[in-house]
Amino acid sequence: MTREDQRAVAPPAPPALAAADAPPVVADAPPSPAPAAEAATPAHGASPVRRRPALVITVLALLLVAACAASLALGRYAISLESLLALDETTTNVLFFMRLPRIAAAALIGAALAGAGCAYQGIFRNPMVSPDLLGASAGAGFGAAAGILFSLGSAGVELCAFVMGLLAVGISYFLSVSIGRSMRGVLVLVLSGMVIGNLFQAFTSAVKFVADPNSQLPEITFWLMGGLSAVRDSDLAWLLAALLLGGVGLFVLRWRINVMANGEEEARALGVEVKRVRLAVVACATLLTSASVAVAGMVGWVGLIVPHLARFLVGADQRVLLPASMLLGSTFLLVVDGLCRSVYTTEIPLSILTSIIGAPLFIYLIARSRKGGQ
Amino acid sequence: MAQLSIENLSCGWAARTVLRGVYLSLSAGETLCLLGPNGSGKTTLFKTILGLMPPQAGRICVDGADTAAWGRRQRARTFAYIPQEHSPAFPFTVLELVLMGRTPHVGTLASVGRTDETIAREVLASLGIEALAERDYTQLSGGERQMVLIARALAQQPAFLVMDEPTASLDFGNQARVLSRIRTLARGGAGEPLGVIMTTHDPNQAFLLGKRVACIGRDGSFTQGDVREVLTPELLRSLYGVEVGFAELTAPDGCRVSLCTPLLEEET
Repeated sequence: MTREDQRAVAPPAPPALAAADAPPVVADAPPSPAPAAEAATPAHGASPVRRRPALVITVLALLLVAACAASLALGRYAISLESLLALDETTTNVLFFMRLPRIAAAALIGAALAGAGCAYQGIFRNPMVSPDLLGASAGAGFGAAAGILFSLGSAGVELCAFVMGLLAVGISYFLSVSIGRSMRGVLVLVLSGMVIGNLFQAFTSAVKFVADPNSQLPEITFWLMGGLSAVRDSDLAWLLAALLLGGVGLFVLRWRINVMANGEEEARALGVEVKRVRLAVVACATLLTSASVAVAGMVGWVGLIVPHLARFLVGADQRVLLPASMLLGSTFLLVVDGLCRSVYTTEIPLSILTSIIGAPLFIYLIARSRKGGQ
Repeated sequence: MAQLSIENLSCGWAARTVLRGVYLSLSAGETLCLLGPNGSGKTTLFKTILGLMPPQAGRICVDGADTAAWGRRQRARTFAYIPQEHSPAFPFTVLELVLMGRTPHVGTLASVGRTDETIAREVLASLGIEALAERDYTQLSGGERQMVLIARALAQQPAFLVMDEPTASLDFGNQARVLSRIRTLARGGAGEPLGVIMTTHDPNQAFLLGKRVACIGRDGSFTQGDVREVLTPELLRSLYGVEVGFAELTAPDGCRVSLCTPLLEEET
C-alpha cells in the first residue's frame, strides 16, 4: 500500500474503481519527435534533428511538462476536474502534499542520474558506462543499510547513504591516483571503482547478515530496491541543491567533456587539463548520484540508457546532449514511477521497473546502432 | 615568424632515456621529416615537444622562451598535434570535431561560440571540405578523416604542426594529396606560414617535400640536415638494415626528383 493510500482521508475508492481509474500510462510515453524534424533539410548523413538542437530541447521540455501533468492526475485517488476547480480539501491535500513532492523528486532524480551518466560516458569514452561505475551506488547502499541497522531514522539513513556514496568514490579515486602513476589513468580508475564497488556490496551483505531478520532486513531489502513513496519535503530541498551544484558543474565543463572523448593524450594536446577536468566531473557526477540514491534508493538503468536515447536524438555534442539527457531522464523516471504506482495494487519498487523497461530498450538501441554502421 | 629551437634535449620514459642531446631548430615555413625505424623514439620526441611528457634534460624554446613553464592552453595555441589514427568514442560531426581545435582559445569553463564556429567553417572551406561539415566523422573514409584532423589542427591557429605519419593508411593518391597539402600549409596556404614536423616511414616523402630531414637511429643517434646530403644509401641501409637502390627522374616541370626503394634479398 502506498503512503498516498494511507493518507488520502476522503472515502477510499473501492479497489475495482481504483484500478479502472488508473489511466494507461503507456499513452504518456514519449512520442517520436520525428514530425519536428521534417522541415529541416536532410544534410549528408547527419540526422536532420541534429541540426536543430533548440527545437529538440523545446520538444523534450514540453514532453516533461506533459509527463508532470499526467503524473499529477495519476494515482489511486481520482481527481475530477470539478473537484480540482472547487479546490476541495482532499484534492488539494493529495495534489500538493503527496503527488507534487513525489513528482518533483522523480523529475530531479531522473535529471540527476541521466546527467551524471551522460558526463561519465563522455569522460570514460564509453557509452556502456553508468553513474555507479566508481562505486557511488554501492557505497550509498551500504550507508543506508548501516543506517537502518543502527536505527538512525530516515534522515540519518539518507545522510549516511549520501556520505558513504561520496566516500566510496573518493576511495576509488585516490586509490587510482596513488597506484596508477605509470599506468593509464582511466583504466586504473575504472578498476579501482570495480574493486571498491564490490567491497561495499560485500559490506552491505554483511550488514544484512547481522540485521534483525524480522524488522531491519526487510527494510534494508526494500530500501535497496528503490522507490519514491517515502520522499519528504526536506529531501526535495537537498535534491535540488545537489542537482543545481552538480548540474551547473557539469554544464560549465560541457565542452571539455566533449574534447575528452578524443582520448587523454589528444585532449591534453588540445589544451585540456585532463586530470583536473576528470576529477571535477567525477565530483559533480558523484554528488548527483549519491544524492539521488540517498533519497530514492537504488535506481538502476536511468543513467545508462537515457544518455543513449538522447544521443540518438541530438548527437554526441555535450552542449546539447547534457540538457537533453537531463530532460529525458526526468520524463523517463516520471513515466516509470507512474507505472510503479498504477500497474499493481501495491506499489512496485522503482528498480524493478527501470530494469524491466530499460533492458529491452537498451538491446533495441544497441541493435539500431549496429544497423547504423557505428 | 615563430622559431622553434630544441637544445640538448633528452627524452624518454621514467627509467629509460630514448634520445640524448638532440639539437633541432625549425622556422615557420619549413617542413621537417622525421625518419627512423619502429621503436627508435620518434613518438617519444613528439610527445616531449608537445609537452605530453616532460623532457629529461635540455630545453624546448619558442622564439627564445622556454616552454617548460607553459600551461596546456598556451602549448596548444603553439603546437597542434595531428595523430596517426583517431577514433572518437562517439559519432561527432566533422564541424564539432574541428571546433574542438578551438579549445585552447576559449576559457577553461567556457564553451566555443559563434566566432569559433566561423573560424572552423573557414578552415574547412580553405581545405575544400566544407561539404563534410555536418557529416558523421566516424563514417568518413581514411583520406577524409586525415583532412578533418588537419582542419582541427588549423583551427587551433598554431605556429607548428606536429604530424604523426600523416600518410599512413592512405591510398597512393591520397598520400600525394595530403603531402602537397602539407607543403602548401607550410608555405602559408592557410594564412601564416607554419612550421611542420612530420614522421614518415617513406624516405621518398622527405625527398618530395624538399629540404630538411632528421633521422633517429636504433642506437639513439640523431642525424639531421639537407635531404640530399643526409639521405645517402649508406645511411638508409644502416637506419633500416636493408639494401637501398636510388634513382633520379625529371618531373614534367623540369625538377630533378630523387627516389629510393628497398631492394629485396634472397632469404636463406
